Amino acid sequence: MKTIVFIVIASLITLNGCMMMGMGGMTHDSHSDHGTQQSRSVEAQNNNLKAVLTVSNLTMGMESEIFVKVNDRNGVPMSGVKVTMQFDTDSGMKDHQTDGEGLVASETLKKGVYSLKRRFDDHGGIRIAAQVSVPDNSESLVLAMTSEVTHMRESHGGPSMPMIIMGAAMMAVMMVFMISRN
Amino acid sequence: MKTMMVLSALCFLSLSLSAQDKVVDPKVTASVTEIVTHYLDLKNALANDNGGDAAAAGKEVVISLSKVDKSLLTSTQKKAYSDLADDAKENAEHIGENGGKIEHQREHFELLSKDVYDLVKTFGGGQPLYKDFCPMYGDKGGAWLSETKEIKNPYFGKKMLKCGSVKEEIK
Repeated sequence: MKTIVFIVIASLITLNGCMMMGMGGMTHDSHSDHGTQQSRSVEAQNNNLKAVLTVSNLTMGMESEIFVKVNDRNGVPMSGVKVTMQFDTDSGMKDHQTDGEGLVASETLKKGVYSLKRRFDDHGGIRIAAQVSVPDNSESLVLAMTSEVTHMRESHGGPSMPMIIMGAAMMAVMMVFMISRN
Repeated sequence: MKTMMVLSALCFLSLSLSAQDKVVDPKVTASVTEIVTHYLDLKNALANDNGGDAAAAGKEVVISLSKVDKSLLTSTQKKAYSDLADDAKENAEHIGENGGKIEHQREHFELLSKDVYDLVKTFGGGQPLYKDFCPMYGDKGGAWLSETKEIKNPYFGKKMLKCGSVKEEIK
């Protein structure tokens, strides 16, 4: 009787461990390789302004940078332009952090290139809108695109499937050995 | 009838000459492959914001450009190569001489990339290559060649390393 109880408990622990490890492994493998992902851009222009909005991979829980390049009609980079960004979720929900005017991007990278760093805590589709306004004049331009916030492919050094099978097999051998002794 | 025959002969001659220009001597392709290898070193140095390594690779590009044996080229190929190589050499020399001015190196790298792209399209690159494009660089964006699908932007380095997309796969 004692042996049977021991075997049942050992089996439960083994199965539970295997399932947890297996689930962990599935989570890591279900995402695409970020190494080959590429940025996406949209362009807009009016009589005097030309702007490009570029978004690279948006990864959940990580800070991402969004860029807007602003040139005049001759292709000369424009400094001192106000660039604001708004983020709305796919379902049409307004992002509470960017209510009102939106977040202001800064021109720190290069003349005419404005950037904003932002962390996205939820995965799924997100609409990014950038408004470019020239001070002292009524010129403005709006660029928008929808992008996807994805999970990060992580490697926590978790066990692989062969290791899980080996562990289970070793446990089974141990149990058989104990039963045969009794 | 006579006119028809002359026209046919001319067409045949023109086609055979054109086909001849498309055949590239393997030694020439090998030399162009060497140019591409140094160009890729240069591209990777710029992506790593390393002006010193970019300058060294630029000098190697200049040396490898002069190694192509022009006697193995047809007259059409010779003209095409000379035009491209002269331009490429000038840009690579600027890169080689300006190790401390990475933005200046990047300006010439944009021009060099166009030349190397044309060289590869005409004479082969010896390996699969990708033509990448970043819309954020300069007025109209900047293109470059890469040996991998992964985007590593040589125009902005670590500031915008992943900015860009693959526009063409060259096999």
